[in-house]
Amino acid sequence: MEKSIEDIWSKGFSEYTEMDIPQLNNLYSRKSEHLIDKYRNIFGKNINWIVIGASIMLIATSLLGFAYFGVAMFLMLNFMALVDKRLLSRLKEIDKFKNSYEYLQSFRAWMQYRGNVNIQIARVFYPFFFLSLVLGICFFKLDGQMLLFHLLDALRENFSNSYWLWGIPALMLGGIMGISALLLKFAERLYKWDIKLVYGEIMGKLDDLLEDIEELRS
Amino acid sequence: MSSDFYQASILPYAGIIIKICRAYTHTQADFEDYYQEVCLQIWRSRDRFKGDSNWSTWIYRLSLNVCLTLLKKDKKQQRLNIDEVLELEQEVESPHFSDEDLNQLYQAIRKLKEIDRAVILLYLEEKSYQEIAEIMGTNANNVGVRIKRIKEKLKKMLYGKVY
Repeated sequence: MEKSIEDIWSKGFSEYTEMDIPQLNNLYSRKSEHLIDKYRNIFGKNINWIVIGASIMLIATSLLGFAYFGVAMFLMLNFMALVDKRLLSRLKEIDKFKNSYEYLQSFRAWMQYRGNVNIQIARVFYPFFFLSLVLGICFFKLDGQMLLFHLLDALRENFSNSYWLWGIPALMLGGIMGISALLLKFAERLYKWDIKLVYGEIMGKLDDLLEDIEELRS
Repeated sequence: MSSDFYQASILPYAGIIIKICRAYTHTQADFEDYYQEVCLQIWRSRDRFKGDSNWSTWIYRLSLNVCLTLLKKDKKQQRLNIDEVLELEQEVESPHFSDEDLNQLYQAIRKLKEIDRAVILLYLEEKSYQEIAEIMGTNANNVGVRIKRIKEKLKKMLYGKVY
């Protein structure tokens, strides 16, 4: 005999017990897993993009006669990708079967570690990037001659009275060194800004989640 | 979320939340995700409850909104990942309730349009047309017509004919 949908509904749920209700302690488990999986995916993809980007940069700069910059960046970016790859394998070692709180705490500790490692690299990377760019421009060939010589000729004509050091105007040398020093000084801030741009949303969610769990545990 | 809040303000309505989440998910894992998210959103939005409606009505509205938002997000993600869709299709048939008739009814409900699912859930929970209209932001007449149509569709899906 056909039953009405109202009967099916009321009869079906009359046998429903509290056993079927997800427990509060498990509320965050999948959420934590998702959050970390999402981070791991983005991080893994970013590593691949760094390698792809470095390769494209190498080819493009070689074709444009800007190879010094391309080779330097290729080496540096691949080194960064290698370091990140190792960091990623450490992330994969975090035990998923811990409770959500410990799992998220381990993840946060890993983030801290990753941040410390990458800040050290950033201190080299940003000045290195700038110096490579300057060298790349200097060694760029224009009319069969390096751009550096064209530049020095022009500077000699216009700033002959200024102080020169190692065949380069001291002001220009000072400027390059000054910018490099600033990049070194602000490397940590630049790195954090960079990270916030890419992972800011996930990091915000991590903080919210930990705050929720801490409140629940208190 | 405090344990007290969960015990006092969510747990008595867990049945409602479960019924809604089941209607919008196919797998146990997704169901748990949706349930979690609804509970967390209730807790986070608790200050926005002004007492204009019943707490249970407010929970209905919020649960439906969360489920519809998650569903939209999931659909978008599935469009990007065909493997997950195939995996999901394999899991679709897994029963959630011990009562076979209820499982079949849920399967039929899941085939309805998203808004129709919400309307029929509210109807089956014995909400008045007026209450359903308030929750769904429409009028009682519209709700009545819609419920009649949805019930016919469900009967057709369950028994293959319309009365």
